[in-house]
Amino acid sequence: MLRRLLFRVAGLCLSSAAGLAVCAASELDGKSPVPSPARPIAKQPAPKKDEGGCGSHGTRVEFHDTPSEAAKIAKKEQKLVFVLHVSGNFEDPRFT
Amino acid sequence: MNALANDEVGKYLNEYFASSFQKVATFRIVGAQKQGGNVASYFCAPDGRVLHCVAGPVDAGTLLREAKWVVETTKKAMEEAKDDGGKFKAYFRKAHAERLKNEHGLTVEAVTFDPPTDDKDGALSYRDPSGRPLAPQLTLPPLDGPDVTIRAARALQTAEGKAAGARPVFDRRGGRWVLGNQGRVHMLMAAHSMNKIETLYATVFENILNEKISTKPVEVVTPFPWVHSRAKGG
Repeated sequence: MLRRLLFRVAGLCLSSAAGLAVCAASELDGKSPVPSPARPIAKQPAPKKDEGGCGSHGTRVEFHDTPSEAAKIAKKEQKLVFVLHVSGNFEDPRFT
Repeated sequence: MNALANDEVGKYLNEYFASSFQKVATFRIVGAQKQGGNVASYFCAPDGRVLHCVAGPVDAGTLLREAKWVVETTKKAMEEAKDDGGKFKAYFRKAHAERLKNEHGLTVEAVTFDPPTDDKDGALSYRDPSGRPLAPQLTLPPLDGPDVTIRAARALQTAEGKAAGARPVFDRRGGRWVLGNQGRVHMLMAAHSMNKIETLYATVFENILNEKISTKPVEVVTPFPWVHSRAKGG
């Protein structure tokens, strides 16, 4: 009984050692064990940030984060406030 | 928003305005068709009171013309009012009534005095589930009909039939006329300009642009997806 148990434990140890050897081999041959994504993730261009602005979102207008922030800046710089109310996602031209 | 991608529009808006945007409505995509979806551009004073609005998408020339009108009218109103808020408001509302007459051929009496508003913090005021009071639907001032002193008023009304969002409007005697989105904006502004944007946006989006205000994400509905996949599969 004890001999059978010892054989099983030895078998388990051997199988895990074989698995580790396969993994190590895949690292040695230069191939990553982790599958690479089908398409490389394109780096999104960061929105242009001017002083106090949050970007132009593909337009020629510099937008601030919120209307209240725009209002504060307008008051400070003696300007008026331009607020767009849109449906959908402003950043995506399909949605505006 | 091609108008905002225009160099001249961008330069002018960046010079005279601090800009921002908000999402106030959504739309549905049914199959490949977009249902609903719109834009409203507000020109405001730094305290959030609306001076003017452009309802719906417009070209660069129109947006630039409206922005310039706001800046020039504000300068004139400031000279005229001399730090008197009541006079400034009256000047702007009359300017909108004047534009309605000159550009759309209809007349309204500018409302230069605001009646006292209801108590919004009272227990009887309606609120949405988040506890905020509902955006009010403002009443437009009554139309006096066409401006009979202008010969071109009839011609303007004929042209108005081709304007964006043109639909019938009735004067106080029951006469039937046509007014597009921008004409309706002038009608609204003749009575409610220099009010806070939160009291005006619901009327602009729901009554003028016929959009339902919502903060829900865009809903994509494909009623028969198997039709498309079967066609692809041959």
